[in-house]
Amino acid sequence: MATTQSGGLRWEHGLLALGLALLAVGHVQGLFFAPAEAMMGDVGRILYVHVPTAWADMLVYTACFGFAVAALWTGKATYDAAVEASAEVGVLYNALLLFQGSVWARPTWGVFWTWDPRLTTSAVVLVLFLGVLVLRRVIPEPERRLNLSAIAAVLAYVGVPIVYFSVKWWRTLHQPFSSPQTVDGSFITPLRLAAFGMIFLGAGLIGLRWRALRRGLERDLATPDLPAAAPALRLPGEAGGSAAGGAL
Amino acid sequence: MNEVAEPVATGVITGGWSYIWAAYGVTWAALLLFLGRALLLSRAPDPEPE
Amino acid sequence: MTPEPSPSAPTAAPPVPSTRPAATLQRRLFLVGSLLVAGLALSVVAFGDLGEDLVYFWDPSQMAAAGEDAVGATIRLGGVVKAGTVQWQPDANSLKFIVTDGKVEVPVEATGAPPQMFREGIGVVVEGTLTKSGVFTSDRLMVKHSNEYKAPEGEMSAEERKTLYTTVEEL
Repeated sequence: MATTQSGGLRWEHGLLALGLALLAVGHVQGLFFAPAEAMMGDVGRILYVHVPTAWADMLVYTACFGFAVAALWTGKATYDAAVEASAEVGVLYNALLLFQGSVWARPTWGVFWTWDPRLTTSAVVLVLFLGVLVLRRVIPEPERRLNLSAIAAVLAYVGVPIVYFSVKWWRTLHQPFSSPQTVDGSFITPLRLAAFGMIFLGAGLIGLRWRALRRGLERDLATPDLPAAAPALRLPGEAGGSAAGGAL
Repeated sequence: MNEVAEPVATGVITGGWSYIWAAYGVTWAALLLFLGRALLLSRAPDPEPE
Repeated sequence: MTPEPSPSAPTAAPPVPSTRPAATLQRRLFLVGSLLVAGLALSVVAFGDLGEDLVYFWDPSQMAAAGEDAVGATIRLGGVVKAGTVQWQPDANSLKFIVTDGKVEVPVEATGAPPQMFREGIGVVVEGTLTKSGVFTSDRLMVKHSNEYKAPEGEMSAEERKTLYTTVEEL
């Protein structure tokens, strides 16, 4: 196992440790030390996990968009790997966001789910980025995979600003933007700690996945997609591609 | 208070810790699982072709 | 297929054939195209007046303006619970109140106990139908929370909180 140089500490490990520490301190403070919310009571403490997840998810998706643009501009495997890594983390955060949101909605709004614009657009963005990941699994040719998944990521990203502004553009059950002006001072420290924690953790997770994916994709992309006229020659390349895909 | 019956809800939520634990528990569990899997995969030896 | 040419330096840029001019040009055209489509889609949503078609709930004035058309259809009605109008009969499991937007008032009959945050003066969205008699019957009541998160008053002084936080932050 420890034969390759992939062991050892890297920058992403630092980010992961910092992120986990900040998240833990923020959550302990939010759960046990911050006062309960005036109307929501203790249930209001879900704020410290839900809102940081939402903020971090937007940043992760924005990074994914940037990587997709860079991948299309340069064609480099390093950006191709970053697209996949950040899409994975974005989908993870997005799924958690929807779960936390519905667990919070039940006691406060009275329902687990309603097709309100904020909830609907968040769910749509989750499906779109899941689609990016699925696309990467089903395309064996490395260059096509880079191109199509990066295009899909750019298009999927359109949903992110729409989610953000949905509470402003349309009537929703979801509350509008929270800001330091609308959040009591005693809630802000744990909220900020948890938010930075989620963001650093997300960056560390992207780094970890990026490093694991990069080498295989570099190998894949070093072999050009063969023209469709030579299907017999293409099979070994496809086998190599799907083997690397299976190792993800 | 003649026509209006006793308040049905107080406007304040009491309890509800099961929701809190569900939100935090699932979030931490999923994050740690993803992290553990990513750590394992990033440390796996690089399969050298041939 | 020939074996891998250079597995030696993974950090150095591999000899990527996709940097050949035709492929590079194609990729960059893809980039420009997808950015254009993305920008177009976003501006359609942002400035395209979709607000009229994408209405999550009607307010009482809009429902009144719809007149007879509103009767019988399943709709969501949103507004504020008018003070002094809440009637709760636990035996009948029935909840009656008036929803208002400040201009039009709609009597609502809901079944079941509402969420704990329900009270006079709070925003609600009710799902149901408007009957001919002008009463809105609902089997799904949702409470709308504002974006204000407040600490309860008087539970803990600002001083006490501050000391608590500094203790935690020193960890």
